[in-house]
Amino acid sequence: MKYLSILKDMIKNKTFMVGLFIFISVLILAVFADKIAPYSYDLINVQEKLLSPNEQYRFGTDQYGRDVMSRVIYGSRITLKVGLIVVAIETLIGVSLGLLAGYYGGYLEKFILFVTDLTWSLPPIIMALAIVTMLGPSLNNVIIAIAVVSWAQFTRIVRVKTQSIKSLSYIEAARAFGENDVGIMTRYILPNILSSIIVLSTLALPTAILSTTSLGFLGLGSQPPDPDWGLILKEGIAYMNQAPWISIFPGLAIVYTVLGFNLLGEGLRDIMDPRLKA
Amino acid sequence: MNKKLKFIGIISLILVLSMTITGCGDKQAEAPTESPESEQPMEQVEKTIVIAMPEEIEGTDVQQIRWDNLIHNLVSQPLATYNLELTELIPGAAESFEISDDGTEITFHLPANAKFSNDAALTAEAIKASMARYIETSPYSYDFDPIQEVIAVDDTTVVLKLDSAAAFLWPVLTSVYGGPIDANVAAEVGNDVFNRGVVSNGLYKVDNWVQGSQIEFVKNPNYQTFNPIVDNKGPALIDKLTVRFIPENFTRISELEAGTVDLVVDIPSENIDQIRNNENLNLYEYLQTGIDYIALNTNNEHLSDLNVRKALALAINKDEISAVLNDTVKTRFGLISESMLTFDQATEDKLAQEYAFNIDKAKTLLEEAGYKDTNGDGIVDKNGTELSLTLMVALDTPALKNSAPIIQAQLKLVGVDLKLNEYESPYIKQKIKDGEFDMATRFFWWSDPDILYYVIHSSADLPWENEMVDKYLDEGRYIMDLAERTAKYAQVQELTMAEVPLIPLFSEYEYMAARKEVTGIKLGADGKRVMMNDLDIK
Amino acid sequence: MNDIIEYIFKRLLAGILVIFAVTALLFAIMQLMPGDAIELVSSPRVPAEKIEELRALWGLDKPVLVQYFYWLSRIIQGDFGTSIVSGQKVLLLIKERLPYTLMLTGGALIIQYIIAIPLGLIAAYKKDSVLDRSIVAFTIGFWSIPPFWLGILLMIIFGVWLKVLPISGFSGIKSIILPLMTMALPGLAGVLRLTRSEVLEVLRERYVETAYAKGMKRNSVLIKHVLRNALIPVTVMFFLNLPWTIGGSVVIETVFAWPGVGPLLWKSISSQDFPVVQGIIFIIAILTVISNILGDIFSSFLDPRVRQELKGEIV
Repeated sequence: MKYLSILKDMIKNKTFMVGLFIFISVLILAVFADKIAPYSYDLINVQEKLLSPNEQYRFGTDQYGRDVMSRVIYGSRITLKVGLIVVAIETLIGVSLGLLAGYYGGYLEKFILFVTDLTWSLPPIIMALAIVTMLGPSLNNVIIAIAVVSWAQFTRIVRVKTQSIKSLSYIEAARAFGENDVGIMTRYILPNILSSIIVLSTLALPTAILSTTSLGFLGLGSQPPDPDWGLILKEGIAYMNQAPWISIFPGLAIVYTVLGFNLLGEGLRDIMDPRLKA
Repeated sequence: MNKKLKFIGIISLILVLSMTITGCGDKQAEAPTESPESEQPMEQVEKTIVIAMPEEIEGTDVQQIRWDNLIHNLVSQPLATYNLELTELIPGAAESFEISDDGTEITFHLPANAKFSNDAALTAEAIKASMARYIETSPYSYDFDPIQEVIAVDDTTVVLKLDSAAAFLWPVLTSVYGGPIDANVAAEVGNDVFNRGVVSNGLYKVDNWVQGSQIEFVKNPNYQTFNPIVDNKGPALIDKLTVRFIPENFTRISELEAGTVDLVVDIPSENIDQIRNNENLNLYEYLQTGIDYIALNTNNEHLSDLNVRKALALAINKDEISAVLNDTVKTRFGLISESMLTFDQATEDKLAQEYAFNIDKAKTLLEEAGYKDTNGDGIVDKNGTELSLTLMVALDTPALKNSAPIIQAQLKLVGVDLKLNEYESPYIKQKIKDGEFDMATRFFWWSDPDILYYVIHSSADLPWENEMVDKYLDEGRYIMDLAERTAKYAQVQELTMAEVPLIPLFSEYEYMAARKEVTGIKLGADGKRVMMNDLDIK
Repeated sequence: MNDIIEYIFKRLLAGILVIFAVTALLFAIMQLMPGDAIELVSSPRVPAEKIEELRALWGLDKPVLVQYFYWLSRIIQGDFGTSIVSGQKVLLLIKERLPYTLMLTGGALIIQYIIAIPLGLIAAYKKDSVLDRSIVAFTIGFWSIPPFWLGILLMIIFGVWLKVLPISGFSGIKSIILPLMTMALPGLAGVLRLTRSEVLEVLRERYVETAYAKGMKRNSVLIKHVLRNALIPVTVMFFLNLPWTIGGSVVIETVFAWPGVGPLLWKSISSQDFPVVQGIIFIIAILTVISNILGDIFSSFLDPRVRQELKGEIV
């Protein structure tokens, strides 16, 4: 019943619905890219290079003669993959560590806090930069780097919430009934903080995607000829004067998608946990 | 509540103000002049030029740097130099010079009143001291190995006694690395400070270096040259010159087009067309003294087969690459470019014919090597292993970076699966050295063919070795006669390319662009020899 | 009060530990990168023996731990060492560039607060109106643009087309505007959202209604009571966000050829110029730890609820 009312709230919340619409539209592009895109994303055709948008190439062509629209469509796969995986890893690590720290306290908590503070002690881009430079420039390494420097936000909040829930009386009762620690954490504490986690995760998506774009600008991240939006945008800037369409379309795609996730997150926050100040 | 609010407000204000103040304060605090001289003459109607380049230099001291660029040309003048076509030696800071018949003795005659930019006398003793310091300080000190003795016969005569007719010494002597510096000042202020403001004999002297932003130069009133090619043989026509460092390509080009920058060094190939078409700008072109190539690991299971290597070379369509790069590169089949000494058109043509783009021949060679597409996936294989190779691409060299996807597509047509990975060049260099690579993009820049010693000699990083080539490389260093030397290096190229340890791709055209109001730039064939004596602005 | 002092002390201690752990971490990361600084800077012409010589000169041939402790012992005495790439003193390099970065990051934060707080106030006051929605949409829009693209677009509009502002580099007040706006605009949304929700919450509080009942004019109620309370978490957020912005500066400083610390750090990491990297990281870590502590102090000092939470940390 609780879920039904949440559903009603969702539909009423315009921000959430717009965000959802955007997310689903990008999802459709990603899943059905093969069917929607008119060309393959790495089809090089030097004769047709740098053509402005026309009937055949709706978004124009790039410096190798590749269709920009197809590249943008296929690029949605990379964007979603990056966003979702990064956030999934962050959430997993961050929440687990937060639960452990909040529940057990003591030296475990001190240790987890220390490590978390460590990843939080430098601006994330800088840490991510160092990690990717060490591991070598690739999309996967960027994913790892960003996830590593971002889990701290989850750990902190989950830890504090776990602590406050832990001391509630029904936890005592559960323990009396023979529940073990893991059981308590997963069955009693977790569900209570779930809504906060969902909001935080959704709001972490835009940051993850934009960070990837920034790292891509520095040359770390997806390698050509991957149709990564950040990569196309960066390379397209050089052609800003003669072929602005190469950078405009992936740029708009990024803004569209990130905006969507932002709205989704804001909407979710309004619905689920208006008091949450991340 | 009120108190608390005030408290927050005050603390925040203090913090923020202190940050902004340190921002402004420190900035003013380091306006000081870095160079050891004291005065900067300020004239009424000053001519100024702003130059923009992508990367900040390590330092201005030609004896401490590892990479040189235009700036070092501005602050230092070698005793002699080459003419623009690189065929003849001509005087520079020295009034004249003689080379003994056997090439082991070089005599330079300095002008009587020669001075450094700080008014210290530029005598033979000073040259001697400068050379001694080079040997002590420079990472390229071995450049002067052939020099046994430097004798200051009198104030204006310097004699270099060599142990042999080292032809490869001249490119050094005539480059910025051969520019004399005031060793006394260097010893006095220490290398660090000297690097920030070198005292030499060039057209300009360092006035102020704002870290990360720009270097300001003023003209050197003591400058004089005996270079017959330039019109203005005295101090520069431009009073003040600022070099700005703008790493982002788009930003740099935008500044040029907006007119806030007068001259830009290093124009990315993507912007060449728009600059060419811009009526307010002049484009200057020079050819890389060197080549961009793909190094092959001859120890790799596939690449150890000569037929495979030849097939790869034949499968690459360099004309198509050049088209994509907007013809900003010149296709290359040999190892020496037109702007280098000992370039031989005949050799280049011969190799161009031998390794001309030929897909059928490439396919045949792969077949002969035992590669067939047994599972119909488009990639050939042998003994169950697919012909899959990884190419390390230099992401800091745009021409190579932009060619990589094309090469990938071209090799796919003959059934080779090429994976691309972008890295910074130094990383690639290290990997080649460790032998941990399949294929990698590399390049070199030096006007003397002796650079090949560091590329294909057995002692170099490339795994491939050949005794004959080693021998010829050693010999080539000491042949003074240009024709003879050319023949020797022709042999080096042919022998090397018979085994294809590397695939030459192209030599890049480098571009400088300036506003139409900027005149008087004379560009040598190798681009490094920029004669800025006549530089002027309307 | 004693509580707080003890807390500060403990946090400082932990902070110092964190600072050294971070520098050790970065050091380790750079060691794991292939090659080393000397190799990386040398052109193909430099022979192997010379490279070995230089490497020994810089102590790069010593075991990693030795190198790290050597660096550690020097920096404690205030000796930041010398850059391997350029031979300049690291402290000098940082000192010359840091102010420019702080100008941008500090300035951006100020601008964010100057613009976002009043806007947040208005948005909350006129909740759900067209004005509210457009303000929120506007700021979230900027939040969604890749910062480097925003910078380039602003540069094109104001520098190239309109020609009212300098395109790049530092040349006085005008030249700071574009990079500053590029840094400030994306973060507006965060501050705005917080202000708006805090103000909304306070507006709901009973005593505000009581104040209305007492007949106080709406505006003065708003400003006196609401703002005062809402500003607390906002100020706390200011301190916590302070060090973050330094990260964003790498990209923006590169785009605008701004002589800050960002591009230097980037270049030094990729060329493994560890004295420079360590030096910069050291300073940034110190700034971060101090800001975090200040933030925590403020929040505990001002907000009893948060003080409870923090007390949990002191355990």
